[in-house]
Amino acid sequence: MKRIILVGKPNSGKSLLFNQLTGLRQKVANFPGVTVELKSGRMGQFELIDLPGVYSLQSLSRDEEIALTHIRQAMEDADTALVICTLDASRLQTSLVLGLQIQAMAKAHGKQVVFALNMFDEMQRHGHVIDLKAFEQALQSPVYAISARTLYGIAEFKDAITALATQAAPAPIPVDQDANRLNNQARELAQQFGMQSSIVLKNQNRIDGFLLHHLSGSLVFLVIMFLLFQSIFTFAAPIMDAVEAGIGDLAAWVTGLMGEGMAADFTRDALFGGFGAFLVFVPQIMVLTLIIGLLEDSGYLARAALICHRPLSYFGLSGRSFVPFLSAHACAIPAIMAARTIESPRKRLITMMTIPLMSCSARLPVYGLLIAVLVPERSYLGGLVNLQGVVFFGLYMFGIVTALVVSSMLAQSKTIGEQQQDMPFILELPTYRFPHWKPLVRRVLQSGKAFIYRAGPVIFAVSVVLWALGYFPQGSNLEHSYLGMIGHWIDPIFEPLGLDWRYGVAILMSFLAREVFVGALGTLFGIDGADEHVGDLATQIQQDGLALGAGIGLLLFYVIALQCVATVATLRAETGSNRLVTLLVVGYGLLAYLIAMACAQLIG
Amino acid sequence: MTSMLTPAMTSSDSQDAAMTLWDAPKGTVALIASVDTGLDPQVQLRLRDIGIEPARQLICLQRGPFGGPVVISVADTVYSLEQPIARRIRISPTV
Repeated sequence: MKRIILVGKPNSGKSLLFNQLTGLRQKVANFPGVTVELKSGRMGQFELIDLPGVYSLQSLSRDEEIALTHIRQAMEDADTALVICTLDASRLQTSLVLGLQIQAMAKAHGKQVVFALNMFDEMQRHGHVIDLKAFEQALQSPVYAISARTLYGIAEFKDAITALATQAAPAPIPVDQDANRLNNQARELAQQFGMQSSIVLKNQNRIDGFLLHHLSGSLVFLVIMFLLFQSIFTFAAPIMDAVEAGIGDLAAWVTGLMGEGMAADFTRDALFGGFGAFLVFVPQIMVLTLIIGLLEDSGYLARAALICHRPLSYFGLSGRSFVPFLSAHACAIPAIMAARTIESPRKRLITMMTIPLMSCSARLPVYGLLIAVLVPERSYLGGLVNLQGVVFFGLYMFGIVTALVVSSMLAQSKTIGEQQQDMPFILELPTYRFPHWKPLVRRVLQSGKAFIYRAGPVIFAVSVVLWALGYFPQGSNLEHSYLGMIGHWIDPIFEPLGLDWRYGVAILMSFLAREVFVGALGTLFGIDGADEHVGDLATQIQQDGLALGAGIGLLLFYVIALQCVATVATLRAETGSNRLVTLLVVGYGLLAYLIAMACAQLIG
Repeated sequence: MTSMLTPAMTSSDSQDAAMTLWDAPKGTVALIASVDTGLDPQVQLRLRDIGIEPARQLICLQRGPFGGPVVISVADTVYSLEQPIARRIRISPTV
């Protein structure tokens, strides 16, 4: 299929334009989140590819490097029929710097270029008028005035690019690609056709004066972070309850139809009990993705990175580490991918290595269960402070603090990424904008889908294997099942932690994915569907007796230990080092074990 | 811009020519005097592409909170630069 590629500066409305041109026919070729993704979609008989935004043909970070590699490949590819370059009509100079470099490159490769003069509505709102005919003449490529937001000019643009892409490719022509000359030309064109920068920046600077102020800026930042974590619980809770109830009802209905027997046992315990339990966390991931998306699209995330840069520098990190750390609270995998935006390879590596310490949503069921077992439901200050909530918060903080301590230790180490040149922190502060719902909704749905597709197979396999090991030899109880035999064999490992073999099996199983813990423990405690009624399982554990020290130890174990196959695989792919990943799994595992042992021995 | 300069301003210009971007107080309007040629070539090229090169104008909009990155506008875009890089850009204030 012939391809049309979409290139442009970050924040030039490229993603929204892509959405408007392709509609529902698109897919993300990478993990979602605030990260580098290559999106492709259908537009008529063409495939439209949205390439990650870049500032110029000079890369400073890994994500830009990847984007530029893709741009170069697309230019050389015979299937590339057309290059669309987006320009921000309100900021011509900056977008023309990239635009002219792309145009020169395309001409040299015999590719047609069309300019999408986006945000035309914004420019008009400022009362600016542009002579499109003259601008087109000066650029020597077709220019279309559009607004991806209001859909102004989109229909005509679609027709025009379809017509252009069907034409025969022009012959490659030798072009002077000297960036200095092109940059000067961009400046002259912007002076002739563009808006005055003082008008464009007026509102943005006024808001920044408040949001980046020492006092008001820090205050707003803290409030936003507090609301963000609050809303993960408050917004997501009803949806999670609904999903949980839905799965419970479905399980009861299906097993009711099946009657008694091995097939029904399997369906109830392995399918719904094991696999169903993890679907409950999908809404939470989607809510977090939505909030991060809102913050990013509004332009605030760049300010948050700026505010955090200095404090994070003390720990050997960059302000850009903030976004990966934030999204790691939903899931470590998109967070590790998002670390590609970090300019310094060394800081990027340290960020990736400490991301697993952030409490991702897979730990929530474990925290939820153990807190229900260990912490009494008590409120203080007239219900304002909930003891269980405080412990929840404490666990998140424990993860963050540990990550910072580990970061500063890694930063001291000379062997971490020393061979690479350190890149400075240069960050664009984009205009504040009201986020458009379309790309946001798509991103949120995508995050849920990706989570299920990624973790689903693993959890399914674990559920089936665990169920089979616990069920056979048929007719025996759990103690004498194959699982019981394995459990007794590993018992000595978990004895110093004050935990018996059932916890041992659940912990070992959750090295595949942490969510498995609750389901596995539920099966092992012999109550059917315990994982769908966490409260019931908690009562069962309380009656069974779990020492406070061992329980706290177990909680902290789950904060620290790197128990996720998908995260390990992503880390290996992104760092390209087996040694490093092994070191992390063993190191965090050992640290978690020692902390848990200390708790069990000291608190009792 | 040059046409607007009064003689008095031009003299203060040369006086402050030693100033780095990091030392510029909030509200400074300046012409870039030089960018350290010892910087990584890739960084220099990027700075050039975003308009941070000799004789271009920049405005210091904000000192980052708590010694954080400085916020400047160059042409139609706002950037923040951390201390190690802002220190290696020399400016001559015009206001």
